[in-house]
Amino acid sequence: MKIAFIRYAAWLGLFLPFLPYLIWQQDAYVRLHDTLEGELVWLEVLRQSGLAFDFSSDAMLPSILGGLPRNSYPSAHSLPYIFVHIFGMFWGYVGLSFILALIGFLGMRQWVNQLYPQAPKGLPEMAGLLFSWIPFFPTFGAAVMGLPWLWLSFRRMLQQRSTAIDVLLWFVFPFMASFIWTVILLGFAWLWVGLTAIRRRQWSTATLLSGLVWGFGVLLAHYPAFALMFSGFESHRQEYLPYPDGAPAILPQLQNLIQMFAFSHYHVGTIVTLPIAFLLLMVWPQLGRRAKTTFYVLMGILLFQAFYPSLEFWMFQHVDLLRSLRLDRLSPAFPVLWLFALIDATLVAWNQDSTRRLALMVWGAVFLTTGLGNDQHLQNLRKAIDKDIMPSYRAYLAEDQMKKIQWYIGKSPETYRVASIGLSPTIAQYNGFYTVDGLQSQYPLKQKQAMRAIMDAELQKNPECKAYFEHWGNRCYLFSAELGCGFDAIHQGKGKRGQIQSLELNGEAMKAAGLDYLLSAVKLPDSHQYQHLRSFHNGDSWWTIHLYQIQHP
Amino acid sequence: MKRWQRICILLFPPMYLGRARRSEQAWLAWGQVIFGCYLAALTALALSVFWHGGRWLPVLSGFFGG
Repeated sequence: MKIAFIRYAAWLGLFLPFLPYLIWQQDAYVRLHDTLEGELVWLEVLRQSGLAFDFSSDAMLPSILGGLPRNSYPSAHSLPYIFVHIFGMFWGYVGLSFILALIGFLGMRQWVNQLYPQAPKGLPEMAGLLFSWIPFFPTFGAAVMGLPWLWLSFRRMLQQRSTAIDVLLWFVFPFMASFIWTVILLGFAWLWVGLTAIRRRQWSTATLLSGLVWGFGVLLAHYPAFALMFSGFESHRQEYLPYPDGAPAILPQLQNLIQMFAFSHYHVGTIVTLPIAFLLLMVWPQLGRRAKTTFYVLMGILLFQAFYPSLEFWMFQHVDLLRSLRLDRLSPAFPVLWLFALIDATLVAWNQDSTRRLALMVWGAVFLTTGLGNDQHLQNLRKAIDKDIMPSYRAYLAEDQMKKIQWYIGKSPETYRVASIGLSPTIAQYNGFYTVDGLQSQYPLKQKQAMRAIMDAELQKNPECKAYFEHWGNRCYLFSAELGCGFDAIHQGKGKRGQIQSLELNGEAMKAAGLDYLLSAVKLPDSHQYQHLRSFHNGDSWWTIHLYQIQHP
Repeated sequence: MKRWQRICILLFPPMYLGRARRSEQAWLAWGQVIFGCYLAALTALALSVFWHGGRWLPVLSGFFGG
């Protein structure tokens, strides 16, 4: 009865974080970073454009960054896009998140069941639940949640038990997960498995085929990225300058090491790992060889990730290919390896009455911090008790308000261009505006130069923003020196400053870029370069948007 | 109990504040109490950071730069 209750609670726990989306629907909170601010809206823009499946080199999205090749957007043959295509952006995201959480839940449960058939009843489900609560990014697909399944597949290969199912899994996986967050990690994993198989002289047809179909799947699934690479496209990445001041300092890398050790990596899921580390320390002498190897691998990845800047600077900086290809993308392994370590340590601790209670305490602590360390859980909980500080999906995207602005301008959106200040340009893009700004991992270098010309005076006033834009530049936004280039630059919603005192834009450059209107979440100072037309308020929106018309010289 | 385990327990707040005897059971009992307090404090600290800085999650390492 007790075990049945634990299993029931685990399944309930899997569904629980999705209740806010069913009850409040678009009034629930959806993550902003790399989701509503970028990757998720890219998929919706792609859907609206009708060019999702057109991979020809002349397919262009005219509404983004003054015109962008379709192939600089994600592939349409991917799980995230297919969900958005079928169910629309909101329900696509919710459905995708749930399916990925379920994949993670079942994968981790399967991992415990296979590795520890003697594990206490209920532990596999609890491990699955904990894993599914990790704040992974659904827009990156199964890059984190799919890893237990791949780990088990590698294990079958090394035991020469691979089957056709493994081959199918390896072919399908690239269509389910982000290129950037999986290819490097899995490349290293394949290298390890391949070398081990050679050392043991244990090759099987299924293993070879799995490796081949994985490579083939990557090429097919991420075809647009490869097509763009060979199209002669002049990307803003040519101006990438990761180490403008010479060799990277050691101290920030040490800080990064400590931070990654204690919290994992924000792009793959924040977890508080210290309780797990303490439990590991307590049972270390009794841990098995595989469990210790897992921990060594985890530490190896941590060191590689943390000190990669130095490694890159000293070893690879003269190899052009490696300038734009970053190898420090192994972090998706953090959550899964920490959870493996937790389970390994728990099963050792469970065998001794004296340490069993410690293990339970650690699980309690990890459950609490993972549950609330997930921003979507936390913000929806805050909303439930009326203490929300972040906008809901509806309030952030401000659909109704943007429609009113379009109606007020009264022209067809393709006949003019807008830029955003104090709010993310993806909001305008989502609502059908044609923008000169945007967040993109690949866009034309000339657009970056055009944007730099517009805000050059502002960048000169704020050296941090200047370096941020010039040396990186994926966020090609209209920055103002006063708002900076951090969180405040695009989150001037309710309760924020409301206005800025000074803004110097280049009129000629605005004319050259074809910029006609500014959508600003803050009031701009008076200027002869633009004219305030009207301010828009809306009960459904997080923003007050001030519309300015550029007065071209 | 191995020496290194005793040292680990001693790394937590001093044991002599209690009436720990040098028996295995006492070490373990006090070890668990202190470990529990330590975990509770760590958890409370993490939750407090999440609650007050909630809007930043899961971006603890800074909003930009990735």
